[in-house]
Amino acid sequence: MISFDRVSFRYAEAWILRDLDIVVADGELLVVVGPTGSGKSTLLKMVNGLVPHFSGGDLAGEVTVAGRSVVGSSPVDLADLIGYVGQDPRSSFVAETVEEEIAYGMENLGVAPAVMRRRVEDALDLMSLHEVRTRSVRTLSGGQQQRVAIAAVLASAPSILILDEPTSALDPGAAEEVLSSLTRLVHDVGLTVVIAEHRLERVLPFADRVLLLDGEGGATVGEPGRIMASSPLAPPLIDLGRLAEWDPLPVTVRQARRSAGALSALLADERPAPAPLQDGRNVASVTNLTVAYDGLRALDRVSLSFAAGTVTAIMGRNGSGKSTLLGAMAGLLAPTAGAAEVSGQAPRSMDAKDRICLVGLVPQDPGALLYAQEVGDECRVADLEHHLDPGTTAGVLGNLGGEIDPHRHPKDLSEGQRLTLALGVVLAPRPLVVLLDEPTRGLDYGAKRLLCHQIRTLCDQGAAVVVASHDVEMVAMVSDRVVVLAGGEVIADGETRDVVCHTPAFAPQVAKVLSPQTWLTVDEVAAALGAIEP
Amino acid sequence: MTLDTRPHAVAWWLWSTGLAVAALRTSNPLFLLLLGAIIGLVAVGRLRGAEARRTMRGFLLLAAIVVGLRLALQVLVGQRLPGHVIVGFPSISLPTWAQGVSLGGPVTIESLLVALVAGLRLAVVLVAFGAANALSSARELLRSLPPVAHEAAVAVTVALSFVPELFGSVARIREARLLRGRPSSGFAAIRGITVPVLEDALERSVHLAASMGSRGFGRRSPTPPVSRVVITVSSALLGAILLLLGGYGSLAGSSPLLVPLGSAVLGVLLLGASTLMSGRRSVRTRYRPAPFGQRSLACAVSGWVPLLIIAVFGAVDPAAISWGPSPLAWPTLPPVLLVMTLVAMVPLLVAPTPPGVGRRSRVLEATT
Amino acid sequence: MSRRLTVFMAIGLGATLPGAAPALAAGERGIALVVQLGAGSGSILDLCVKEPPGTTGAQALADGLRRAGLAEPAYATSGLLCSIAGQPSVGCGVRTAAGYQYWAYFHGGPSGWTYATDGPGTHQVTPAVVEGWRFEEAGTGHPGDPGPVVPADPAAICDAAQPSPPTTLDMPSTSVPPVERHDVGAQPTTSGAPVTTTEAPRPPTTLRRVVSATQRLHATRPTSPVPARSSPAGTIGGMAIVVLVLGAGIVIWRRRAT
Repeated sequence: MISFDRVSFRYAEAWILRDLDIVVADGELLVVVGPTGSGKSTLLKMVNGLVPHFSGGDLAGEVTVAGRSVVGSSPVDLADLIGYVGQDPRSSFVAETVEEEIAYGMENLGVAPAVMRRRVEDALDLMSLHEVRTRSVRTLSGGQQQRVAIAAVLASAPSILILDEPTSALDPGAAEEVLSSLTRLVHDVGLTVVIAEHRLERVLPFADRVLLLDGEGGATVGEPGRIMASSPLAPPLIDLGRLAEWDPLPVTVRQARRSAGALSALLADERPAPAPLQDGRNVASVTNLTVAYDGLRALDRVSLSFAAGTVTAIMGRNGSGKSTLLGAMAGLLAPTAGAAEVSGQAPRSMDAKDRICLVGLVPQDPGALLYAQEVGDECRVADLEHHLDPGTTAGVLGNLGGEIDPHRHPKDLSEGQRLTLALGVVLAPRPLVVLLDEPTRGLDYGAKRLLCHQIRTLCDQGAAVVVASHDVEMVAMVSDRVVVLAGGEVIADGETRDVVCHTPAFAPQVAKVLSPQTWLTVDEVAAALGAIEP
Repeated sequence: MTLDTRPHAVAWWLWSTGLAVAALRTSNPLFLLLLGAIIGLVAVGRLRGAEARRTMRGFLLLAAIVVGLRLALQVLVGQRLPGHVIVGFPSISLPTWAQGVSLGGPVTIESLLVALVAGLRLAVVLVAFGAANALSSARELLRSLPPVAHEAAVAVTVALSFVPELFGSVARIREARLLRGRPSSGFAAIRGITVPVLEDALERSVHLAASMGSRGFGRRSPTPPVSRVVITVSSALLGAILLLLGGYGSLAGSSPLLVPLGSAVLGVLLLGASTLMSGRRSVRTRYRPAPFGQRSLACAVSGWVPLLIIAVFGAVDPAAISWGPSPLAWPTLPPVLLVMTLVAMVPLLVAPTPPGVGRRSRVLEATT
Repeated sequence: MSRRLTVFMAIGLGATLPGAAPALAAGERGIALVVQLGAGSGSILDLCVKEPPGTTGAQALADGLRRAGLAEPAYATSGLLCSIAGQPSVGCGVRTAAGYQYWAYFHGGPSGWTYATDGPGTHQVTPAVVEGWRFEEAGTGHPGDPGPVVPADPAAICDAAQPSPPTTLDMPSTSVPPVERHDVGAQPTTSGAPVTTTEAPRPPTTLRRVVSATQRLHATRPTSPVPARSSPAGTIGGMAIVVLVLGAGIVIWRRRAT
């Protein structure tokens, strides 16, 4: 269906992809994996023709899709064959309402009106978008927007579907639904799907084959189990499999549970190391906090307190109020009722300059915080503004790790590096409370591990860290306490282990495999195994 | 289901255009007030959604500001119409090069009324435009345009959505500045906000272009001979220009009506011809195009009834509906005209009530 | 042949009439007006009115005409003077093939007549400057148009010592030829026509009025700003309908907002 014949590509001098020789079969679900900056998006766009027609660059070799040469045609010509969903669905919306957005592609292709109506209904069914069908696309939540973008592309009935990080904005439940629908299409209709994804734990169970990019331009493709066995990037399940030396490596939780019998037995008498006692004082709290806007109650009488030296994770479905809670604590949103206070003061009424010394927030898009043309300039300006000694911010950045070249433009950095830079800028004035809103979007496993390390260091220095996230694995790795929000109210609040292990939606893979035992991460299991071995 | 019974977007725009033209061709303040009230009532009664309400509110505010501004300007520097003085400001004489402007001087009722009428006229046009925008957004109108204007319509649609996105972008960047402890208002902030917003906008437009391209925007059947393309496009352009000139000429009213009207009609014919010719080229189809049925027709026609009445009276008995500042007189309208102008409220009957209004719909909602 | 007529109004320096017509009000002075109703065989009106300082040219003209028993000036919404003493009876700033037919405003002094650059509504009258008005038959609307044919001599016009003979006023027989109704200033035609009582086209007539020169006349301001010409009944009826419609709109808006 899709064939790459000795394809090499570069934007500037460095070759991103070198001598790629891949054939994707008809009706296959291929998952493209690789560290950030390894060219996943570029590879996906090459199928569609966006690279090189829209983005420029040098393409050597031949890309053929269903017999048509991509280099010879433009994306417009291939639109009837290939559907592409990019990373940012919000910026790809053309129409006003959801229905019109879904029908847009078909209108362009000249599909008959009766067929259009039928297909729009099918697409709405597939992505569960019935309640929002007449709403404006701008008013939808991030997850709903992502579903609309996928539905819009599916409605045109392409033979090939290209998805670039389709589940990044979706909570685990919604991601599961979307991926199952896609898999059903693959099985029933013979759709060929190519997905690029960082969160392998969500996608791997559905993959027929995996394409691994090594970041140097090379690629290997094969069965998920085989590729994952030697891949530097692997979901916790694979890590567990490697640790327990299971052969063949299980790719789904179900497969893993079948092989996990021995491991469970071995760990039966072990308990995970207890978390060190947290007796820090409360540095931040919200009391009966209610935030309402546009007739919607985003938070309803929420009362929580956060102690110094702890990491609290706020979890919940899209639209449950996580970002609103962080916004209220950072002083961006005014409470409609109740209070939010940090170290005894209400952040909303503080002067901005004083506020950042108490509470720092890294928003969902960390790039919004960065203005300068160079990383070094950014650090210098941050020092000046916060009246710090010159070099403080650069020092904090260095401690965070990530090896960022001070002469690069912030927009040229990878996602993980940009997050690190934003974190450095926010942490330079040493705030008491650090808030992170969906920090793991776009991060690969290595960057995620680094982030967890940075968070733990912060904790040890005495800050209170609050993280709002869908990423179950990261929450399992780093947080001491989990608060679950639904509909603006707190429905669960307790130690991570207690809250997460017994809720299938929020349980990490290790917990699911070793259930009913409550192990959260592979590291815990490894530590316990290490304790057993004499 | 309500989609099919709502008046077509074009019908709403025709209705409001008719009323706006009627407002432009009258000088009777009573008539203007009546037109404004009718437009307001129909708009308020048939608006759907919070955004439409916001639009309407914005335009009503703008209209009020226009009237106030006009009155204020009249008091300060306006043309001094002699008559019954109410406030005698001393006149400030200006040097010869500024002789066209009069500063100060006695304020007369006549001049205030003239300013009020001029302001009201503009206000009614603004309210009509706002009502058309709120009742059927400009997007819906653009969707109804013929294929020859499709690409231009898409450009305008994208631009229309660009502005709210821009505001959203500015809000986001300002919040981010607050998070950095930087001032989010003031001159220094402007540069700091402008550059990221522009970068944001550029990125977004590139993404949008890529996404639209991937979804097949701009597909064409095999290109017809160049000559045919040239004929289609040039006739569309010429028709649009003729229509524009004709429309302006007939509204400005300083030349005989026949020439501009003829030019407008010719323009419409040319546009129609180019539409037909281009319609065969594009492969686009339309998803659920709104039907232009009897309701839409009734709605569209009812807006032009006041203008018709003005024209009839203008020919038969102009003094009955005209009003001048001197000599000063109470503005009156013949009762026939008053009643017939109320015909412009027909859309209240024709358009369905918006959801959530009226007891009947609540009952329906309760049972579903 | 033109008949030159002068109407003198008593200055009232010495009371010639018994009874207490008030003497000169404080600061009032005599303002001279010259109105030329038409070229060639048109009549020229010389008027002299007592006005306090701060009077505008328009006010002086209106007072003068009122005292002479003639129809007051009518203005269009743009501020253009349409008619003086009912002349012309139709049209306002009508454009013909030869040019514009409109009332031009001049200021006269020892050096002759100058085309006025400020409007009568703002120009403040002084005794030394004669207010001149001339109906142009084929004007350009620019300062090149000719002024009144009589010399501008405020002393001659406002000479207090001269006894005033009985006077007659000869209205010129000009009638505006029926032309297309296109107004200067792009006003809608329905509002540009001044409201006068004569209808068009007018046959040549002469109107004779006799004004007693011994009347003591003082220019006074009109005190009532309320126009009494037509009844407000029609307006009230119309406004009632407007208020009804507006009220319904407000009620619906309120209900929708909740």
